[in-house]
Amino acid sequence: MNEHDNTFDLTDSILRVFGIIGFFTAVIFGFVVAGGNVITLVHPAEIIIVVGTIFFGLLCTHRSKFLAYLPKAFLALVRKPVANREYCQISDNARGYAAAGGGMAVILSLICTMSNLDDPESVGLRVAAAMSGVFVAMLLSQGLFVYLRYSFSENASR
Amino acid sequence: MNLVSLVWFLLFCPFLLVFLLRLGNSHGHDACPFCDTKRKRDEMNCEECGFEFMEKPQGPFPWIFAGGALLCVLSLVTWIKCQQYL
Repeated sequence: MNEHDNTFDLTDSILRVFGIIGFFTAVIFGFVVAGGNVITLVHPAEIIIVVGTIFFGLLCTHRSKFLAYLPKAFLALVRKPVANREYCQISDNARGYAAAGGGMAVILSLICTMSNLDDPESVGLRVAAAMSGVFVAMLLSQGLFVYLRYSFSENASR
Repeated sequence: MNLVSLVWFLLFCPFLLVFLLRLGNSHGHDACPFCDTKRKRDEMNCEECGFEFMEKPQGPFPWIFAGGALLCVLSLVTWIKCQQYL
């Protein structure tokens, strides 16, 4: 399984980091150009639900393997990792948990909004908060875990 | 009409989310994400490497999510128009 060499490749690492930074910069910069305020994307409650669902979902599913996966995943952001089926599986499961967390964040925001329809001015803000939960879930799922899943696959090592 | 469209929008939000998340599945549902081995119908584990698939390869769900996502966007547009923002 781990027959691939994990030699450090400076060009690969530079392109990897440049790609990751460029991905997130393009998303945020596009939002700012469209007239958005970055602060409005930050809703702690939504972030807690999405990130908490992913973290604790993976912890109870994979336990010690997940704890071993964390440093490897962070290292994979700057360096080509060794192909590993377990880590590829954890990255794939993380996408599922991100979807579940994003879905729950929307449902809970719906409950909050329905409970406060007496105050129409707050409805727009609560809907924006619900959308920010979807945004965080998508960014983590498509921007991070798809990348990690591919990085730990055999295809990336060929 | 204002509240009705808002309620529909919020109800269909999860469909939009799941639809968008599934769009990024570059392997489709017919190949193993780890070893890229062709996946057989109704197979839940890769024969080559043992990778566990999270969902079955085909079914009516993509169309349900697509329909829900479309209704979500349409109800959002309706709600915004009711707000007289446009």
